[in-house]
Amino acid sequence: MKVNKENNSICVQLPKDFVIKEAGEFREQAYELINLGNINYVLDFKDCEFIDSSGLGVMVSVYKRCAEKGGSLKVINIKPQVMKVFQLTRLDKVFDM
Amino acid sequence: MTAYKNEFVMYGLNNYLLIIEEIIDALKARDYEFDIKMILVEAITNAFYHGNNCDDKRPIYVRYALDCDNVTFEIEDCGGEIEDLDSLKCIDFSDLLNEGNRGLYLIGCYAEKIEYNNRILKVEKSIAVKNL
Repeated sequence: MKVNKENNSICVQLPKDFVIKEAGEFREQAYELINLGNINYVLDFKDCEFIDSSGLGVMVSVYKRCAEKGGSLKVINIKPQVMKVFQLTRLDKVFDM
Repeated sequence: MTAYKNEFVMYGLNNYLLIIEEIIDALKARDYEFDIKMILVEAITNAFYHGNNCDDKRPIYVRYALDCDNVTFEIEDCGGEIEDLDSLKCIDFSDLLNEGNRGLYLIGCYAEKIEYNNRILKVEKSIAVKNL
């Protein structure tokens, strides 16, 4: 998973399969960065072809931690099948996408 | 008549994505790849975490049987209880920010039918398969 800091945001390039192992890695990295004061995230789904409930759960967790500190979580470049998962779980109404 | 059936036994989650790919290939169901992957990823993850308490010495059995255009998956773990499946048919707005409890709901979205009985989660999915 590639993580860059651009301007005031942390940009994360999500992997092809954003499932349990990758979601755990993202959570660890994000929690550490949030503790250091990085509270704005851009998640780039350009390479992501699949997300499961673990990936969604970690996104919700990171979103909540950022939001309570006045930060944000934005989702970009999402593919239609992955978008459908967000719509089915209504998380398209939660995240900026 | 069942045209094709098979069984895998796995311990832990080390190679579950590869096994799912193998199942999709065996079913020649690339057109349904996303749906089948969702069903099996969620079912196997659920079996490992809730059924087997994250113990990678306990087996998870994944069976599938193809009958015409209908595939039935069975995921069997070593115990634990699944919540009432009826309560997982929709997600309430008040639960949107829960960090868990979406797995079985997602299986339901991508499958025709789900049943749970005696440690076995049985999921039916309709697919149009070319020749096996």
